[in-house]
Amino acid sequence: VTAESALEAFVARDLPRIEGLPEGMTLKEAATTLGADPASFGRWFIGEAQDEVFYTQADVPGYEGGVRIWFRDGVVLQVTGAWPQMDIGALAALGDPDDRLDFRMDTLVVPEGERVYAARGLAVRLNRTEDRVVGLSVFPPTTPALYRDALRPADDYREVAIDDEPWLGEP
Amino acid sequence: VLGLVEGQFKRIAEGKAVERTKPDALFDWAHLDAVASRSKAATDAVFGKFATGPPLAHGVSIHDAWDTKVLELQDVSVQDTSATWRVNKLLTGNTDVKALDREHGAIQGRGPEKAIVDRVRAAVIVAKRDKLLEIHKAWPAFASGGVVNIQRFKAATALANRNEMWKLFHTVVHEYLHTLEHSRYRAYQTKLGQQEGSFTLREGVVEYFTHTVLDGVAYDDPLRVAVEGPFHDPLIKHPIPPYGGYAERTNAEKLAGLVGARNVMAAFFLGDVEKIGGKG
Repeated sequence: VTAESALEAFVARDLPRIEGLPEGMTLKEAATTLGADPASFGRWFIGEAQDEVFYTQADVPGYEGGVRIWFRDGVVLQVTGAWPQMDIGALAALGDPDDRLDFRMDTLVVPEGERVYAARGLAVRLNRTEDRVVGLSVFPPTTPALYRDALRPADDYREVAIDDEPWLGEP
Repeated sequence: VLGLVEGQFKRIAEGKAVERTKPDALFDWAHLDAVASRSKAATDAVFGKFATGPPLAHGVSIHDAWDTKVLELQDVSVQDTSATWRVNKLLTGNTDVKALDREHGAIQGRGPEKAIVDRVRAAVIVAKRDKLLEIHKAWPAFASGGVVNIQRFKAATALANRNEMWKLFHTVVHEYLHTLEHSRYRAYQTKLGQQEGSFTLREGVVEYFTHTVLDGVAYDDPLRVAVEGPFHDPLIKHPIPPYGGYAERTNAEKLAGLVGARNVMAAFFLGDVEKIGGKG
């Protein structure tokens, strides 16, 4: 799989064509293809060890929630897309996943909603009622354990507290 | 609790859906980025010798909270948990509810009280579901998966808009500090339970550092011009709204009193968790 064909399949949300990402794909390649600005990025944490990771974002047609490129040292670790417009029936062609993991959607934790096809470098997130794909991830093919331990971005949810804050009123 | 929901709805959510349809109802992203940049500069001036990070930037690490919620609330299951979340926040965090608990010696998680609270929660969700979801959409700020989400609604007056911008300045200092957490510190604190120190090490310590930054800010004219943007009036020295934040800060201050503030900083920014009694 080449960088170009891997990202084309991801952009097209064409599950049978997705075979993960090639090892060593550069941030520059991914950002250019997906239309992200590699100079504008955030810092976050990934995997069980909470390793440092960086991400940039692109607006990609077909992904209502945008696409994020996760990278470190200029190398892409994975590409994730939120709210892909696609037919859930396409999942049937993939067979049984290697693993099923919990994941978070806003205040909701979806139990075993993430289906991991580690050997083909793909993870698919379904909503709780399993009638909508809400996320796609592609990464270099790996093992289920390595995906779980080293590739999943931390997904905690926090809110600013307001009830006891006097500064919400007028000065 | 029904009254608290009504109060919260009026305070932060009423009319917001209509506001979104009006031109010029939202703060401009360029101005918000400028405020975020000033928040980073203020934080780096205090803690930059330990760690710095990329600036929070719209479309990447700062998003429009309303847009994000509209997307997530397409899903009925997210609607259900969000309505419950909103009521739980009132039941566990509101000062009036806490006073009621104290008055009756009630512990909400204990058998008889829990049965009552469960009935109240279910009834409130049924009666106020639509308003709870509007409150959820209009919540002033939240962070999810490393992305900060803020509301962009302009207020009615220049005075109120200046106030909003100073609150944003404060909020971004807090959120930027979260992005400076060292991997080793984060791995340590996430393994602790909420009551075993995780909340103190996550929110309390960040709040402690937020106050440290804000206490040292010189609210001079250049900063006022940048933060207040188009709402700045050179004839008015806008009173800076006090920063509140999480009460958990007091526990972080106790930690700093025990181990020393510099050791808390070494743990948070440099990952030297042994300096606060932790193990990496």
